[in-house]
Amino acid sequence: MIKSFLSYAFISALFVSQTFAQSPLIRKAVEFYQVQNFDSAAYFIDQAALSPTATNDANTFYYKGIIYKERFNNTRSDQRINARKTAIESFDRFLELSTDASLKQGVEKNIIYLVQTLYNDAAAKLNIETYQESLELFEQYKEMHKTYGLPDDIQSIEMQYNLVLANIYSELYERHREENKNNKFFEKVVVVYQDILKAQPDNWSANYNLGIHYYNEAVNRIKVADFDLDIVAVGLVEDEAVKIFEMALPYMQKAHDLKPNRKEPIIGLSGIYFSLNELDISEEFNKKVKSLENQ
Amino acid sequence: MGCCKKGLKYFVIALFFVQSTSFTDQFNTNAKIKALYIYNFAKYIEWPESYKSGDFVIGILGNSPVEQNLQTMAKLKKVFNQTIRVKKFSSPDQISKCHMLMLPNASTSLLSTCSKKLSSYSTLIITEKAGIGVKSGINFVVVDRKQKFELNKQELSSHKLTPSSNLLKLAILI
Repeated sequence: MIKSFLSYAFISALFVSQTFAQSPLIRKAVEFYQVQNFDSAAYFIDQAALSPTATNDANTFYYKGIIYKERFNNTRSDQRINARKTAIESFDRFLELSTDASLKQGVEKNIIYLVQTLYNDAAAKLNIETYQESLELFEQYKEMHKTYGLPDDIQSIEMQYNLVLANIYSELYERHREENKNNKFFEKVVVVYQDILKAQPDNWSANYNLGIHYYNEAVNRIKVADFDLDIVAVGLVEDEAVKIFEMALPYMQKAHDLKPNRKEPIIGLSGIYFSLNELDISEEFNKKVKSLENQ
Repeated sequence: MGCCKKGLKYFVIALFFVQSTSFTDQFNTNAKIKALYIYNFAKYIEWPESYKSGDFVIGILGNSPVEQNLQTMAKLKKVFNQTIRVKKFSSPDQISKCHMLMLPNASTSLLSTCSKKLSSYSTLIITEKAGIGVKSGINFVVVDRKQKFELNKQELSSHKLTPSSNLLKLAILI
């Protein structure tokens, strides 16, 4: 609140010191800004920016950036996304045109703030209903992160984002698993986890979850197999399932190696070996689970 | 920077779900595969005329996870026009006329007794223990981590059971 108040005070002071030199349209925009009517302020600053003399006027773009930033902060409608985009573009143009070092520093902070709100919005929308919007926002965030050289560790942020995304795909895959054999989310989950593992081969969650994902798919292939399958097709279903169980194995084994005392990968290995008809090995892992439970 | 912290908070909440991917329910894939094969045995073996009417009876001696799958199958399918009935026997004494008798691994020691009891019937005895194929009709074995089956032609013919050429092609013949 205090920060916001100081920001208003600073901008208002700046307007007061410069408005007389500005066009009536900018003056109007400032007046609306001061009473926090950001829609009207935006209307007038847009009109002002259309003037041929404004094209190369750094201050016009500064005001436009500030007005649109506030419009972004004060609306929940669809205009929010466009307001942020316009604010960033305006600040960007200001940086190209201005020679005022101290103002430029403030504008850079504003850009960082707006880019980080992209990240927040992407995170907030990262759920089963709105994950596609989240993906778009996160792509924008990554692009702008690169453009403006933000200090956050993008690799780590992307890793966390992808772990959640894979989990969402996984849930969507589970929802349609039994009725749809060619579930498009199966491959999506694999791709995201493999991307994570390319960057971080020792990521426990990605190894474990990918192992489970393959296991569940293999089980499903057999579970949904219809009794009408002829004897040749039964063999083919099993061949496919065995291949997928074998794909699960290295990831589950890695998860176990990374955290030998975690029960879940041991249960996973027991299940995979059981389905691969390696009953003795499966039983060994079962015993391990029991011994961990008794500790 | 404050905004970034806010962003991370979202992820902490979301990450709560990341490790929640769970195993599918404890589904016994081996049992389902065996049940699928057993249904095919029923279709690809010719029983004598006197066995082609009434229920198609599949007996199981003792406990087996295959039973549940066979029960499901019995509700959904028929062997040609015959309704499938799955009968569970707890000892060889209880065994009566059936088209197939499955001896789960744990019941293998009762194979000779069952064979004697069923010697005059056209019953296909199915086992699931390595090395026992010479004594039963069909024996499930594991080859390269996959479920395969041995077929004892002589045993089948002694019970007046005729396997189709398709079944013979896929079986490990004994």
